[in-house]
Amino acid sequence: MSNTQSPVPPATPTGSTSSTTSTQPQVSSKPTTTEPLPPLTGFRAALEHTGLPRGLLTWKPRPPSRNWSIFFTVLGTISYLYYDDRKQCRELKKEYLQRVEKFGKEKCEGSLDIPRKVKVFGAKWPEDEDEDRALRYFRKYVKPYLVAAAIDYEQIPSPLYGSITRQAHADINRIRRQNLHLDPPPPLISVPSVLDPEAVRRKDLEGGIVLVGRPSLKEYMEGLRRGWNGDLSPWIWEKEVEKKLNSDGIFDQPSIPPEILDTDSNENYTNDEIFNIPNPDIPSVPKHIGSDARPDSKSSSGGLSFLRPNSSSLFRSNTQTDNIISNHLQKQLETLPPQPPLLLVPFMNRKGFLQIPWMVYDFFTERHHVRTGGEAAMKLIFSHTREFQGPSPAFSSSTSFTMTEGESKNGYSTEGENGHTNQGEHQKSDLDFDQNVEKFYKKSFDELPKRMQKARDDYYPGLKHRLQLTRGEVEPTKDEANSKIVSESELREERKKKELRWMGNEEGYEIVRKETPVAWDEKWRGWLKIYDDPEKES
Amino acid sequence: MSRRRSFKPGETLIRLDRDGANIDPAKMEIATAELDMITDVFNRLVTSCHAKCIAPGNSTRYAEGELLKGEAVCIDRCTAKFFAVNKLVSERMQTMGGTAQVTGSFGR
Repeated sequence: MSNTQSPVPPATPTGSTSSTTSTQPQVSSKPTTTEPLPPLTGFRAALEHTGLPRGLLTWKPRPPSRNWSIFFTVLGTISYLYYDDRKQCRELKKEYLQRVEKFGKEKCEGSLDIPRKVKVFGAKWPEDEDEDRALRYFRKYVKPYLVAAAIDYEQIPSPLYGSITRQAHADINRIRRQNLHLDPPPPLISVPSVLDPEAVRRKDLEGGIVLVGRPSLKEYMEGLRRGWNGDLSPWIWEKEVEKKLNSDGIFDQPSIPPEILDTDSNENYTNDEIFNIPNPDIPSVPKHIGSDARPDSKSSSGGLSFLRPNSSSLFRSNTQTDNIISNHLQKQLETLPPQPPLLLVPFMNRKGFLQIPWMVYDFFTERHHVRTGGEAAMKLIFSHTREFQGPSPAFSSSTSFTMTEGESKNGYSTEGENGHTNQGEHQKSDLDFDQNVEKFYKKSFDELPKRMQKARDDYYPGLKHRLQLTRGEVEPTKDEANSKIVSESELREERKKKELRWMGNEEGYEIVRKETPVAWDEKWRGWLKIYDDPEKES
Repeated sequence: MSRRRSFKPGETLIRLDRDGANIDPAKMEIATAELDMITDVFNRLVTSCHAKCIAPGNSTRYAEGELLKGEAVCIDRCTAKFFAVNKLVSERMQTMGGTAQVTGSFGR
């Protein structure tokens, strides 16, 4: 029992082990035994004989050591930042979903009711091999709200720089030609769910165009400019490139006669088609633009012979007349038809080693992305539109719509030859959308034309050699004879594919790089619309 | 006087058309098989899109008798995807069938 043990001297702290007491100068009368332990009190006394170790019963909590404190602080901070950020993301998402759920729960007017549909463009970010980043951003941060609000979306892939430009250009070209009856309208299928063209146009206007990121805006505006200011001849990019390639002479042989310029179709073409464009007989050509899959045969409908790459030179001789006619038509008939409103979604893609701190910051602040995406989706869903603000009129009168080189600070290139203080009177222009992302473009993007040229320089010598092999001008080595034999048309195809990629990228580079301002035309003032919140209007 | 029989699916029968001449039984077979296939695809499509869009998570709660807009959009997308997958799989099967003919087995 505790009575038999003598008390521990007060100098030694309580709870010290018997080993420490034995090192201190012996005060007690028993030099060989350990110091008696302090008696246990309270419930510990009751538990003393249960077999629990004494150390457990006399345990007192201690603050952690300095190192552990540091570790727990750091770990706790980081975990809490992550947890809190994701919690806020969830709450934000829930809040936005609640705001729009009611749109999704409306009843359909019939089982063939066509929902509102938007087109989503997400351009390839400079120097990013993955061209899907912008669309992925859209899918993660904007799409859930569109799904809840029963709005359908169509994501249009853009594998190269400038893809959006070319797609927009092709669409506008087609629409213009159809409006002016230069081309037959698409055939109507009489199935209940297919709408007539008028309804399709209305649905398009109700829908909208979503542009994710500043490169998308640049490409799209450039596409608009090319489409509406370009000439009315049918424009299919692949055909244009093929024309250029065929006149390149790489595949020319002295033995092959010059490309088949049929004299019959030439005559058909020159006299009738160009000068009778308003003639309603012309649209009765049965072939539709996209179906000219017979490049080498004589086209029986002579009106479309200019589509064949072979008659490109002939077509060029008539562009003057064509331009006269087209300008005449433009002035008479063409007003800019209403466009579906745009939605601009700010997007930044972090690329590069030096942006890793920014990436870490983004990892911990995903709520900002959720908020941006949610706000953009709300603007689209509640469909409040305002006019697209172009650059201030004082600036634009000096530069019209040519793309200017040189630093453009705010979408106004500072070529203030007029001596106007543009800065003084600048209003917020929508062309400046998300301008700050451009300073984050990788420097290697500027070397893109050089890289394309280098790829060409690497490819063409090999191509020449392979062409000679195919034509039998050169004897194949044993390896070449064993390997797969390619025909000349395959080589042409391969070259065409590669050139499409290189030329597309170069074209897009010119559009997207930071020195190029966003395309704008004075005629567009008051034409385009943009989705925005109602409160922001002044 | 009309004969009444119960027709089981897939049962071939020779019937007289309007002119009284016999219809080729082989063509009837093909037509019946095709109809069966279409019906099967349709049933699968309806089941799977219903499970995904109208009753997500197999809940049987129908809040509204009418089709809602969100559900309509979901069904549009579901059917589009179904047919796209169908097409891809049948193309794949064709190529596999082709190689199976050559190599003599369905293997990788």
